[in-house]
Amino acid sequence: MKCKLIIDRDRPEEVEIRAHRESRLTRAIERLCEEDGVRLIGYREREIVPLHPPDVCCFIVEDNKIFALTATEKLQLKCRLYTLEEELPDSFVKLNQSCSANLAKIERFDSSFAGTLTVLFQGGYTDYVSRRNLKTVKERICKFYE
Amino acid sequence: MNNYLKTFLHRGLVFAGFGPIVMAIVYVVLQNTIPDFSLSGTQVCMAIVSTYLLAFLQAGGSVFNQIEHWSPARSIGCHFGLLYVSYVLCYLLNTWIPFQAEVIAVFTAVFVAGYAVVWLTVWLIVRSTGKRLNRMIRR
Repeated sequence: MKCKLIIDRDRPEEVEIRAHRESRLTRAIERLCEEDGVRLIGYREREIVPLHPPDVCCFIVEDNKIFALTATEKLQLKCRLYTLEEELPDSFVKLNQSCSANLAKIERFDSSFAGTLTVLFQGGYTDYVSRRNLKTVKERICKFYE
Repeated sequence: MNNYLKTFLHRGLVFAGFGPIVMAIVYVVLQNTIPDFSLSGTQVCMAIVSTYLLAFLQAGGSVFNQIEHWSPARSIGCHFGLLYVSYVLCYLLNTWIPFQAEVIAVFTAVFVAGYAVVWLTVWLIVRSTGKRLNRMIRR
């Protein structure tokens, strides 16, 4: 596929894809554009840190506070999980009431003795998929990796 | 009202009616297979009420597995406890099993085995789902 970059400061930025059919490449470009539009702010103690969603493994709730877990650190966010979930790109899926996962950062799935599916992220963090969200998680994984 | 309690009551009320229906089918089968099978009005009333409550608790109790702030051990324990107590009481009240320690012990063993089989099945299904998802990720 040909790629053309036009630098034009007078017009709004947009990416237009012309293809014969939807493919892995078109979906990846769409995902990149979608992810690029979301900018978040994380807090490392009192320091403000810009946060790029593709770098985040998952967003979790602990003690009524929202944290973004990257492969190396844990940053606090000052917003509600449900408002955050509305802004997040399609590469994020809700695993349970207190965790939204980045599908691209999932290392593997395991089954626990309790009969739940657990998720191991690239940073080593583990969470579980609630039965209520299992169907959605399966569908989103299929769509994401197809 | 707590959302989980609402779900418990809602599911319980939706499925409670199935208890007496199943019991009625069992009684019809017994009538056609056992000569001179008969029941008193009190027995029928007790059976209807108790199987209604049994189905109500069994359906409502499924909400325990969805309470996310509970540990798996706690939700399994509560689910198992509720089902076990309601089944034992229902069987004893209807005199479907006699009130004897040995019989209750056998009933308990069968119940635990049945519960374990169901959990093993769930675990195997979850394990297979995990394997399938892992294959997708690796591909």
